[in-house]
Amino acid sequence: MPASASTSQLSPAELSYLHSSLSSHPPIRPDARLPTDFRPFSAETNVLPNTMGSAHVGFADGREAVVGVRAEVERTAQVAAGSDAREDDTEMGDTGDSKTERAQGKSSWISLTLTLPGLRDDDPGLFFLEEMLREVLVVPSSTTSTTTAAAAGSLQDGLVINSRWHWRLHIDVVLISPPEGSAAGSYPLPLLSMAIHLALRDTRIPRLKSEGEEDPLADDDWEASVHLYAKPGKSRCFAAGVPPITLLVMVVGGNVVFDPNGTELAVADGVFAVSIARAGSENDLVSILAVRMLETSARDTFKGVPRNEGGNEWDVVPGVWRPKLGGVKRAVLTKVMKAVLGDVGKEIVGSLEAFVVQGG
Amino acid sequence: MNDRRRINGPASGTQPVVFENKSKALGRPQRSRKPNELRKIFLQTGLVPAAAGSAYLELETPSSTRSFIPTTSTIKLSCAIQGPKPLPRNSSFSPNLQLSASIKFAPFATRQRHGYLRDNVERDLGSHLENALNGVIIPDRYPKSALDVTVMVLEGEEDCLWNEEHGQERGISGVGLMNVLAESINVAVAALIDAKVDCLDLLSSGVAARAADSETDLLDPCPSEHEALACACVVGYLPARNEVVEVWSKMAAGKGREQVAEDLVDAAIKAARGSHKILTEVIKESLKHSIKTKHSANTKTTNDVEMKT
Repeated sequence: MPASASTSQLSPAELSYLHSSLSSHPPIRPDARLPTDFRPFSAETNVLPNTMGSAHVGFADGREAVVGVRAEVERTAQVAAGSDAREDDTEMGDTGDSKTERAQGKSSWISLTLTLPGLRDDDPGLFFLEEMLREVLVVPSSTTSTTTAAAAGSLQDGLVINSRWHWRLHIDVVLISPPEGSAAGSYPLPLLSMAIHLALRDTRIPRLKSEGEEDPLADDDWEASVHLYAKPGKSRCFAAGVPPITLLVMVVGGNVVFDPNGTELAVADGVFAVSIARAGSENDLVSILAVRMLETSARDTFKGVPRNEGGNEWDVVPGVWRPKLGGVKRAVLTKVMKAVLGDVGKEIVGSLEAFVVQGG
Repeated sequence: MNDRRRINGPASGTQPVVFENKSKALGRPQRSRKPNELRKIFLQTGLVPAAAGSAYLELETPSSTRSFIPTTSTIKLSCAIQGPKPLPRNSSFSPNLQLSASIKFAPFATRQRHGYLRDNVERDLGSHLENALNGVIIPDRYPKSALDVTVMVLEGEEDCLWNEEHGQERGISGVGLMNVLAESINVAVAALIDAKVDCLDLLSSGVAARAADSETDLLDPCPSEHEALACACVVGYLPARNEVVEVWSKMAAGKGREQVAEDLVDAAIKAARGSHKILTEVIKESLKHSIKTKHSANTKTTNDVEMKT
């Protein structure tokens, strides 16, 4: 497990018990949840007055994530190459053609930083997690260049102000976790993803008084600001659809288990982070944006020793723990994607939608 | 009297030389391979004598006859393995092999210079590589040991053409990095075998992508040959066990329906099977070579005359 999942201090016997109960049909989870159940969490948005959008999400185990989103106006780096500038002089006829095309944003205009307690800020796992959460925010919309000016596309394209200026979006996430020991090293991905989702839904960008190629001048009136992502009933927005959600999915013995906690992760055969988003305007259609396979902490564990020792290395003795070797069967990967795109994905997208509509 | 030590310019002044921006006129290089055809791979093991195992991998450079600047980039990787070596004294006991893998871009590997400190992209790729390799080694054969895998990217693939300023922002970004990751896994596996580390199976990796306006899966896509790629996927695959140890896929919004995701993984596995064939051949070749050298070394020792004292 890359980030902040301390290796569980479970004995081989405990691991074996956990593994066999999770891989039975139906799986028996230590906290008696169904395989598709998520942990309950409480969330509030618009908590930080100095940000343009913020959210605070807390899990029952005491972990909390606070997300603040800010946007600032930045000068777009002009293409430095002299050749291109010269070309513009000579081929004035072409520039009218390129203007009708939708402006392209850069994915580097969206930055995301994580602060996790007890983790060095150069930890590779931290960057892995940051990249995982960021790469799905900057996915392009599937319709290329045919979009009209009114319909918003992907997030980075919406950040373009004019040819010289753009918005830069900073998403800062702080994870607050109780002192060591109370939360058994669960992977914070679902918590962070949920918090980022809600903060982005809450984010508003000031309306600009300037028009066209003028230098940007913001409207003082916060009531006139525009939502970053489309809100029901509001027509103007920067990006279409809703922000993505990243789900943590665990595979144990052919079972697909959603939102595992730290103890369950200790025996995972494989862990996947699957990012989903609503496809189009319908709520009941979900599509995958990214899949990443994560490291499972079941690899680096002590192995159990059977009573009558001396058997072959590959003999499987039931009830004796063996650290996980190898990967995940191809068919199980299919099962994961099917499960995510099925009812679970729809339900989580729908319930977050309901939260935003009620709270907003 | 003329100053003969100085070379004077022409008295009338000169015009600066302007090169024709030919590559723009040439347009985008087209994929001449079939959709299911991989680029040619050069792979050799045992190039770094000081390392326990090493390998070098290079992808075919497409011939660009009409333009001076290369229109596409290619991949050149070298990998060295240190270990298995004892864990440092101050670390806690572990019954398993502690693998650490890192990917470092050489400062000159891409158009954008990479510093000597590892940046976010390199750390992210390194974590991917570590995940993949952890799935193939048998860690309990090496208690209290560590293994360091270092992949040096001498030339990395880029997402856009040399003369494009914003490149692949239309499609998904980072397909070049996905190619680098897949080939890093391949080269690291070759080096692992060269270091004679016990493995479950011969891991190999491949990339598949789908262009924005088509429905065919392209194996081993070269991002500069396409204007926009809608989805891409890297898979690390163990053929004998039919298992995946690494999955990393990105899809444009609305594209990631179940069938597309499935097809893409299958195509990436196909690409991985392609590189698997090459890996097997290379390992056979290096094994033959090592047996031959060992044999000749043995015959040499028998010829030694014992020193009389």
